[in-house]
Amino acid sequence: MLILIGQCLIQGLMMGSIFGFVTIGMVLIYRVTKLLNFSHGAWLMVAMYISYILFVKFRIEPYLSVLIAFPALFLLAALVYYVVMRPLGMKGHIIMMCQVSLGLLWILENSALLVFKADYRSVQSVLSNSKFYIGPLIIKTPLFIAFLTVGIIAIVLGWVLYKTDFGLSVRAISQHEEAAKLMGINIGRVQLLVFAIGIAIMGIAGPLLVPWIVITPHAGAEFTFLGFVILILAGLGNLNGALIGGLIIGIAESFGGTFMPGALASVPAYVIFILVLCFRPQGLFGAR
Amino acid sequence: MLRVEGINAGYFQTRILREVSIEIGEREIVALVGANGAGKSTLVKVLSGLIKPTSGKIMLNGEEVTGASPKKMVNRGVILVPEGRWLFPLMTTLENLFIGGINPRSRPSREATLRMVFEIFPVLWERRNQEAGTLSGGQQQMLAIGRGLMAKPILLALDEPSLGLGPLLVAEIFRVMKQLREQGVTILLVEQNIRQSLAISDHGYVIENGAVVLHGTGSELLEDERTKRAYLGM
Amino acid sequence: MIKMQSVSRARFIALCMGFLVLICLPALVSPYWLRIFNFILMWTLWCTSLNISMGMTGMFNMGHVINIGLGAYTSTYLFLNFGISPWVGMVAGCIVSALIAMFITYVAFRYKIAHLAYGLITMGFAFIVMYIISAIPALGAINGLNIPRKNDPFMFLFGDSVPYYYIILIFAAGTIALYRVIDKQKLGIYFKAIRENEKAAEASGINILKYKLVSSVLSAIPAAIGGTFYAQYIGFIDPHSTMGIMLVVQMILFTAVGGFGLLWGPTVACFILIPLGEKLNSILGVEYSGAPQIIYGIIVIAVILLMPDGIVGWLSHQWSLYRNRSVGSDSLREIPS
Repeated sequence: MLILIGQCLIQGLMMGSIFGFVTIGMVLIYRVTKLLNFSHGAWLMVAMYISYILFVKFRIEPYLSVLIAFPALFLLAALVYYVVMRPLGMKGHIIMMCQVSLGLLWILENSALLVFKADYRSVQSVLSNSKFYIGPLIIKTPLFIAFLTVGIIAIVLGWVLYKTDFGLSVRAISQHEEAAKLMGINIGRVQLLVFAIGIAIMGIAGPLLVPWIVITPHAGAEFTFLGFVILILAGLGNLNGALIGGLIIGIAESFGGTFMPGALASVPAYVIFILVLCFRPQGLFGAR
Repeated sequence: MLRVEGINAGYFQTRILREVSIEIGEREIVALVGANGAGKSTLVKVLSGLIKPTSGKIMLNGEEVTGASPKKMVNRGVILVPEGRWLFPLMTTLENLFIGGINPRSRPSREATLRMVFEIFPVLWERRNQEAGTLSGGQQQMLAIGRGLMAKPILLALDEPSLGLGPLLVAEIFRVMKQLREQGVTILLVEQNIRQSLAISDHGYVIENGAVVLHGTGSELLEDERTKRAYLGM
Repeated sequence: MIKMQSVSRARFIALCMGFLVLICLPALVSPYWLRIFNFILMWTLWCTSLNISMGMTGMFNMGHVINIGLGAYTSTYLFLNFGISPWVGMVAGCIVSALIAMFITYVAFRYKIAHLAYGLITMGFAFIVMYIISAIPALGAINGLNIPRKNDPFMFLFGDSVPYYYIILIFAAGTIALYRVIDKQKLGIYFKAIRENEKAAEASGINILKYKLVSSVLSAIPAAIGGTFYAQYIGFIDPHSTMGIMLVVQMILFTAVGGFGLLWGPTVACFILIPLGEKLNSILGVEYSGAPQIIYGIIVIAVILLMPDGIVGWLSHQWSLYRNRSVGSDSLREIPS
């Protein structure tokens, strides 16, 4: 039993780090552009499908497809932001930006439905089934690789945020946008870049998930939902909280998946969500 | 150096500034005085690019900069230290100063400018790693001015720098302003503290209900009854 | 002014004529098109009820789909398991819907960050309810529930599209009337005050929580009624189609196209977009079964960008421009000195 719990924990931590990673993009976008990106998870789904096509048509390993997915998402997101979000943002129509992000979710999910139908797809890559052992605990290799990669990128992001001028600009805008204007910062450009990067990092997470997760067009909304649960858990706008919240939800999902019957697997996560809302609405960490 | 002609500006549908014209010469200290809500802060925000005037002209060293973005104004050396300071609360003193110098004009010499700022405000060096939100009022004001200096201003606009500060600190800040003038910085001072600001200025403007009602040298305005009336809103 | 009177008279006549046409519709169009009109009217009902909480009160209500789904599932469950007429079940559905809507609004209210957080929280709840229903076998789980097809008016079942048409016409018209009534009452003013500036509204003494609760209930009830209608008309409900998030996303998008906070916004949007979708579907065929949706999405985004107040908003803006064309207007109001 102890082993099972340990297994759950490890698995949950690793899955959770990926959830947290997805949520960090959401938090950054929210802090800098004030947009709650309802389409966020959909981009992850797009990245997974890109990886899928590359594998099926060109035999490219998912891990390599990051090299294509990341720039593709970056460019597409930058284009979308420039054409569609920026005009609204500059006029301060934040609710409309959220509605537009709903429109994006709509377009992305239905595009996937159009091309791939609603079937479940999966990729059997070289590493799909490999695993290794730490003591009595089984660790699935693809999950572990995903965990490591996400961790490294999170560290890189942290470095950029705290050690570069660009990161300084990002933090300035998220703390006091008007003051940032007085510093001569090009607000529009930073917002564009943050949006594009926040979405492009899904171009990394997506292919990482592909070897062992089932791909469906609906995965988009589901990941967005999980992201929002974590956001609320952490406190809207809290970066570190997003990571930790991700871990918590990851563990909850892991335990749920192991100990609860099929469809109720996510119940522990929902329970946490509702409990936090009822007893600590500002999130575990408040807004920082 | 800076000429403002006939500026009309406001928020949403309400007009705050009416036909405001002022002139600031190089290396001058110019004061803008008036009661609360008279429009001083609005004028300064227009100059810094945060608010776009609905009509009028702003000329900086012969170049028209009416309606320019804050970024453009900063790149031309027009720096505003706003009322309320607008520090970045979760950044350290050092980071706040660093970001003050982030624009392309001041970036190359940022390290040197930083040292200069620490010389002017030694207390900032002591508290360089402290989060700006935890500093005292006086220290925050010094940080705000220091951050403005990091951008190597040719025109430094200070909006209510003495607000909420004790007399010692206020004297310190006025001393710093004189020192800056020596070093070639032009200063536009918006203040409710009439006596000290008019005493230090070359000339000043009195603003009442969004319009310039008086203009003269510091001493002229100090002696004028109308100044006091405008300030007290009588 | 005579001009004003003739405008409202013209509007009233147009309304009556439109209604007359709608009443005679079954005799005028083919069964195929009648079916489409049923959908149009159902969506009009859903979008207009959404407009109450989202358009008038400014709550980013992603939980609207819960109202619909609970209405559908409650009446269906009572019908299939206890033989209770869906007419009665509809009322039960309204009650369940209203209670859950109030609960969610209450919980979200405690969050105290307007607009956006409400959208998050309601989206979260929408997913949760959908997943919970997917897990309960008694409610059909993922496979959903089937309602028998037969002709039994007392059990809200008809063999033909026509009775359904008149029912949904009445429901939709009723919802629009409800919206209009609220709009013109003090209630509407409070709702709009909350939408425009919640803090200011609170400062002027409006009990925000109470009115948000009222708004969500008034929004939920027509939706639940629509949900029951859907179950009875379509004959099949499952978590994905009846409680899925994409349903409310589509509603929000439609209403955005028509114009939030405008009486006829949702109606106009549904009358344009649904037939458009049908046409696209028939042109592109089953092969391209996601295509109309994509085109919807693009249209919506274009409309939001170009016509921030929706089609109806844009039209009324053009109309008032036309009427004021001879009157110049100053861009700034003076403060009296």
